[in-house]
Amino acid sequence: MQWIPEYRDDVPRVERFNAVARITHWGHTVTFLLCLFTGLALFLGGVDWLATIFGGYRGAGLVHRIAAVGMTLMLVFGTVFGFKGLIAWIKDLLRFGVNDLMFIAIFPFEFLGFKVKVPPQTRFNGGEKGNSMVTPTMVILLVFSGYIMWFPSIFPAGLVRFSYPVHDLAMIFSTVMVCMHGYLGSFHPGSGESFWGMWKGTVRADWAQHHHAIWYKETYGDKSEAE
Amino acid sequence: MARLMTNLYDVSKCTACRGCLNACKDSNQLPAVIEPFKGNYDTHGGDTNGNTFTVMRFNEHDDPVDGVRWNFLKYQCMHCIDPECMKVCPKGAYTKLEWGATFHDEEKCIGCQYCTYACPFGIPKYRKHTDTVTKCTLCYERVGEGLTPACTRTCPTGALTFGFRDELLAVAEAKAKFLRANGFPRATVYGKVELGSGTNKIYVLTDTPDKFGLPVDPKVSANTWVWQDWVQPYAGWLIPIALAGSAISFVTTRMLASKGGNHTEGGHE
Amino acid sequence: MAKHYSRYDIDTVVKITGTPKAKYLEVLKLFCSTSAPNKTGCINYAMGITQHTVGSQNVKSFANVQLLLGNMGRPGGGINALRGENNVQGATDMALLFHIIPGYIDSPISNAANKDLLNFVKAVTPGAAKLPAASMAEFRAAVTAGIPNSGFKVNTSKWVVSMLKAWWGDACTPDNDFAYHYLPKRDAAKNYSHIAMFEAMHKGEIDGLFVMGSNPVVGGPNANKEQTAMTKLKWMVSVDLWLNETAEFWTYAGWERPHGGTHHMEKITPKDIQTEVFFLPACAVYEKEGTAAQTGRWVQYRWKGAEPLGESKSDLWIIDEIAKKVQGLYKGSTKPQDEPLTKMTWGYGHGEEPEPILVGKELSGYTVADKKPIAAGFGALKDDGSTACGVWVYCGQMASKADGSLDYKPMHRDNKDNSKTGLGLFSNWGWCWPVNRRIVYNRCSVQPDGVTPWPGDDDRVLIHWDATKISDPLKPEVVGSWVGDDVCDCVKTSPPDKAVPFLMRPEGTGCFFAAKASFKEGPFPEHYEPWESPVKNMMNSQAVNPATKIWEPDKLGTTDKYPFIGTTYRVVEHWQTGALTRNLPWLAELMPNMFVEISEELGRLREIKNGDKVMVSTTRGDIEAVACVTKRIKPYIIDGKEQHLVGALWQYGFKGYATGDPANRLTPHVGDANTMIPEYKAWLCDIRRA
Repeated sequence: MQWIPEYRDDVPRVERFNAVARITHWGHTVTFLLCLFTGLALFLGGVDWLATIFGGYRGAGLVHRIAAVGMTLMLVFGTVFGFKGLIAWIKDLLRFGVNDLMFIAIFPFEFLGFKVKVPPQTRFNGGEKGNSMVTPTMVILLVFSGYIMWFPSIFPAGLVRFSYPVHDLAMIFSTVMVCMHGYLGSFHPGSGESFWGMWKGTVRADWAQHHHAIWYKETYGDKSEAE
Repeated sequence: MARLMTNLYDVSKCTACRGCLNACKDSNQLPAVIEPFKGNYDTHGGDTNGNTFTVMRFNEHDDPVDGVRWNFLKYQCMHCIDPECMKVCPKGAYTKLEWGATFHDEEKCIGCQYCTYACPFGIPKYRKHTDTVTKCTLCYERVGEGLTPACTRTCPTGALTFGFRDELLAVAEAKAKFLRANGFPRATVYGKVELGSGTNKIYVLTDTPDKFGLPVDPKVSANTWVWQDWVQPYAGWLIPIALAGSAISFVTTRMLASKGGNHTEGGHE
Repeated sequence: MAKHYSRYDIDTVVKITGTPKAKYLEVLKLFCSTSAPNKTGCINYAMGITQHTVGSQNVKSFANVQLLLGNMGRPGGGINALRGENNVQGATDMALLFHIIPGYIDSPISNAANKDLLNFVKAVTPGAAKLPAASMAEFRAAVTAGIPNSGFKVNTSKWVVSMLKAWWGDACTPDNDFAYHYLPKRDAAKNYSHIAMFEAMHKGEIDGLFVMGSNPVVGGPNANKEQTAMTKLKWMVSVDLWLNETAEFWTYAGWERPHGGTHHMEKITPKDIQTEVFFLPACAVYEKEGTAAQTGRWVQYRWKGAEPLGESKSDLWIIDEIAKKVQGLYKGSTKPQDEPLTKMTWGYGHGEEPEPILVGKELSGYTVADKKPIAAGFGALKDDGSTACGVWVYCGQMASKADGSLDYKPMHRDNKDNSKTGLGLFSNWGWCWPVNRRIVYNRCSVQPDGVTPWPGDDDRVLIHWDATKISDPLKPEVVGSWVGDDVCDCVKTSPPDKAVPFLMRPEGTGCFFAAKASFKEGPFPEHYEPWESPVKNMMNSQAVNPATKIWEPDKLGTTDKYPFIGTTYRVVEHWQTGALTRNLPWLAELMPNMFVEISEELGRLREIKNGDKVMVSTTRGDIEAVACVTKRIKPYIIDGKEQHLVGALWQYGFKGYATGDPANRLTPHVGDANTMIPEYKAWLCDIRRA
């Protein structure tokens, strides 16, 4: 049974994500998951066992807040120290086009394992663009609504009241995205190589050329061949 | 269902002595919350707080017909018959006792304050040192022993009485009728049908509720019930669906790959 | 009288008082409707009526009104003083007033008229001043024969001698004028009221002061002057539950004053003060036993609910200890001037704690020979030294039971209404003075014939004459007696045509015309403005009560600098000077800060918003407070002009959880002509945003 594709250092590899990007990503991963599990312990009924892991509900609440602050710091860190990367990321998102739409339309077949043919993709494919737009937005909503619920007395009551469903919905959508993102970025054959891109920073050159043809050409290939 | 027991508060008999406030503090062993005087006899801004379960509101009105009215109102949890706090609490910390009190179990409370913002009266309040919310308990321990709530026991004028809800509603209606015929033409009963099924605290008011700072037709905010009743029960299922989808993908991709599919397009080993 | 008050027509009255005419007429119609024979109305009053230079006149006006309306001596009628503390009535019964001895008898003055017992009893017995009696024996005979125009007070000598006997026991004999010379005498030229005392103290004339359960630094008028006066004392003893502002008058905190006011006060620090201050911790009301008398003259015994905390003690223990120690200091002395102390009877038990019931027995009276309580009441008191009684109005509150033990009637707790018509008499709950008579002047509850109720008023007859009843089985020849639910307020066997309703008065009737001895201003109450007033007297040409003493004429505030009317009052949540309540967190929570209340109109005039900090000033001092701008106060329209009111809470000081400036720093040293009760209720001030 194959899990994550094997790391091959005997074939050409190209850089996908730098150190700042990776620290920010994994920092977010840890804090998000901590927030998620402590949040579920607080939010769901019948999960006393989950709360016990964190030392009861008081402990879960404390960990939730610590992780939330951690996540906020990760946002700041990434913005400050990875500003150039952030700009590049946004620029790529702004290139959302027909190729991305087609990717998304075809994606369900690929997801289940059928053979598909997709148009060339930029640094981030259609689905990744979607994730890039949704998840950070949800995270920002989580952060703002979270702080409002943490310090309700300094905000107008209507805003506080609104924050509860916002926090819940943002959690649901971001968790849905994270489930997909986590699976696709690891155990899904085909996209699993991208795990190494975020873990060690590099991906197989042939994989990059196949999956992100436009990016590969623009960054590592003959520029004149890029569209 | 057992017969409901409730508190009746008759504003026309209240002198705002605030013995009820002190008795509540004494009975629940709550510390004093000393806030500066800012121009109103009530220093808590007309609102309960984590260590003050009941307050007395003071509202002045100057009417060309009625003259100056200084309206007092004892304000505390209304023990709604169909409480929103119970509906929204993620930990199920609220239950209705069979005689009508809305009981809040502090052991289960995580202090998220969702109930504070769902309550149409904004009653439950966060108390820092227990990291929970608190509110009027309708002295369920005293009532369980056959006593009346502490506030009722103390009230020197009989503005507060405790008894069966149906009987007290009849008393309240009769009193409101009497008041309407004797100088208070807008006297009304509050708590009989509010929020659909009424509350377990009944008021006889000498004027319309807004003159006492009470919402005339209290409603649960749309913000709360749209989310609570329509969206939340279903939205959460998206996560298990996403997980299930991923699990399905995990299996099917490997099954189809083992059938000898070409991975060049779809994937790599 | 009608002619005197013909000037008080309704339009003139509302012009002077600023009361809206329609409301005044409504009140008049309602209250005057109690003149109907089957209706009564009750007037309850407190400091709002008495704390004026015309306080006594105000009360006399009530008496006149109630007499005119026929509301005296009948259930639901009368005039009732709502006492400021739970035992003010008991305090005044015991003569905690500077001008009387127990039982409301004038205390002796060191002058010719009071030079010995005989002259004294002649002076205090109405109608006896010019009696030819040359000895107590002759006086006694005259009393027995009856003195015209004396009323029941003809018996005053019996009460005086019985009191002397209680105080000096065996040392009180017919040969030494019943120890009359031991009784301290007042100086005729001096006034011993609170204001006078502090004026004297300010001049350095007083060495020492006991302040028991009292807090003049907050509660006294002209508090700045009174606090300064205290710095001239050599020593002071404060007795209270907490260290109050008076106990701490000498501290730095005690002399903090706001900046920027009109009143300049010299900065005083503890270094400047030589007073030696002692503090004796007192226990709370529920930690001690004894009686308290309330507005209705009911004397009720109270049992202890808890033991005193720490070293705190009951007032009885403290006074007992002081008396024993002081007496001890003079023990063995043979000097005649020490005899009042060396011969004083003192002994309320042998244990650590004096026994209240023994005090009660002395107050209630006993026959000297067998020490048995006089259950019959003051009618059995004698002026020959055979009876002793601490307070004649309390006589009869103690009796002997069959087994010899004491029946102390203030301990009775029978909550059955003994009236046959549901009046709520409760004659067997506690004991009411005099002789458990619950409603005084109750002769008025039935028509002059003693038998017929007032038309339609059958249910409220308290007593009636039964011509066949024998009241005393030992005197079967005396037929005819007053009977009923209450103790009759007339001679029991005196028939209706002879039984006068107001038997304490010389004429036996009610009286509109006040006697010179009891009323300095004159026979009829007359309107005067307060000492500081924004308006002229519109009723006559005399601005302020001519019979009262003006202590500080140079301190008169005028409207050019002090344009607004100031008054003091309380909040429910604090009690008196707040020496107790401001130390209790739950009460401090309810009323944490000093504030003054002004109308919205005055707020606009001085640009003061609700909640703003303000400074209030008079010629006596300045205070800072929070402003409560309220709809409940409206400007007065007096003589067509708007006059503004500043209502100040007087209950705050610098100690405790709830603190604030004492409003009494603003009030003046001026008081009622008869009682010298300070005019706390009306003075002139200015108010500005601080």
